Amino acid sequence: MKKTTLCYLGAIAVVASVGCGASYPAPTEHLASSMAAVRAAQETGAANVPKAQLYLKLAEEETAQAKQLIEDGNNERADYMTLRAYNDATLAMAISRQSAARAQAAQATEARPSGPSHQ
Amino acid sequence: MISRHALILGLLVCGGCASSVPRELADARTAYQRASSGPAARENPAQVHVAEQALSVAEKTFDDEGDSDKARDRAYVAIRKAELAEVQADIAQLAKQTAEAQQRSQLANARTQEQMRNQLGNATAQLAAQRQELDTERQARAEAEKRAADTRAALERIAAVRSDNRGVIVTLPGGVLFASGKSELLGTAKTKLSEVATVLSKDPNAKLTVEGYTDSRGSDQLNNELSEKRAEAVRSFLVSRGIAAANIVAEGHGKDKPIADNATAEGRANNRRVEIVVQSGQAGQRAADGVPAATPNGSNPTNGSNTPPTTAPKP
Repeated sequence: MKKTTLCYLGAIAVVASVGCGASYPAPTEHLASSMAAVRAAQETGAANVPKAQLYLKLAEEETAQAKQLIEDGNNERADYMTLRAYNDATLAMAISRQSAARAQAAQATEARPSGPSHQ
Repeated sequence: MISRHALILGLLVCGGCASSVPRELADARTAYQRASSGPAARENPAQVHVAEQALSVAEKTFDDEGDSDKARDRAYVAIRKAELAEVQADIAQLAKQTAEAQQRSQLANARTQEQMRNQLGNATAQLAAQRQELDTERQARAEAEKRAADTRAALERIAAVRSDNRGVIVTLPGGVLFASGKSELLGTAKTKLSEVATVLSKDPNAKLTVEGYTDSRGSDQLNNELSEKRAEAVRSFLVSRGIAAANIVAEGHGKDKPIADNATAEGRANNRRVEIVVQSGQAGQRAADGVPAATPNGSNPTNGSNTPPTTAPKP
């Protein structure tokens, strides 16, 4: 009897465990957000700024990894991978803008007003 | 703010005590510390707060679950949030620098433009003044030339007149002015010289030279003395008739510069003469500059020929 009870409890635990795994939805919206962030980073020229390029590449790899995890049914892990990708892409975009802002500041500082010609 | 820092400090201490803190979480604590104590705290406090919340979530996950994937992922996110706060703060500072530099540049440009406007204004005013001066000079010259022409025309009605590069020359025969060997003016001479003085007094700036000449008879000494006395007699008479003494000089040239043949009586009579060289105000200055005086008809009197005037108005 005890053995039967234990078997039932085990079966319930397995079912519950499978049920919980299946209940985590596929993070399609988070994946779309991270992919959009990657595209935005690419459009700001992150691939041309060495430091930003590093984070952009991480974000691209993490996005691909998230897709694979979804295909494998590991939605929760995939969700956190999209989170990593989103934040890496966002940082890549910010670094790219930082580079442009630095160049603009340098240009504005070096700019000299045009004076009258002395002939 | 203090309680928040106390919370973070507590988390840091607690994390420090933990035996197996994942590398991501340790990095997240470091990243947050750097962001919250650097320029980001001032320039981008909202994002620093976001990083703080992310770190708290990661710490709690670590407390609840230990070194799990979820705790590592959340710590990873907290790192990026802190780094993002720093980058955004730097962007804000760079934007300020750019704006300040642009403002300085605009101010400098405005100053330069103002200077250029002032320079242009000064140049325009200077040009206008020069034009005015030129017009005045042209007008004065035209008036002087007209006076000279009028003077010559008037003198031509009284005596023989010619022009050369010294000016207008009035020739008065010695026989009309003086008795032979004398230097006292005859009565008829005074009448004629009065007419000459009347004409010359209309050009008060004219410079006059009275030149006395004799024929070749007699000694040079006597001729020189006689010519000087006669020239001085004419000068004194003209001064007595209102010509400014400072504007008239007398010179005796004796038998020099004859205008006729001294071998004949007629030639000697012509050589005994007094000449009055008239340089009108403007013409006098032109002669001083080496420019021939203008004749009444505008021709160049040099060498007595009526060649076209060679002088042009000053630019």
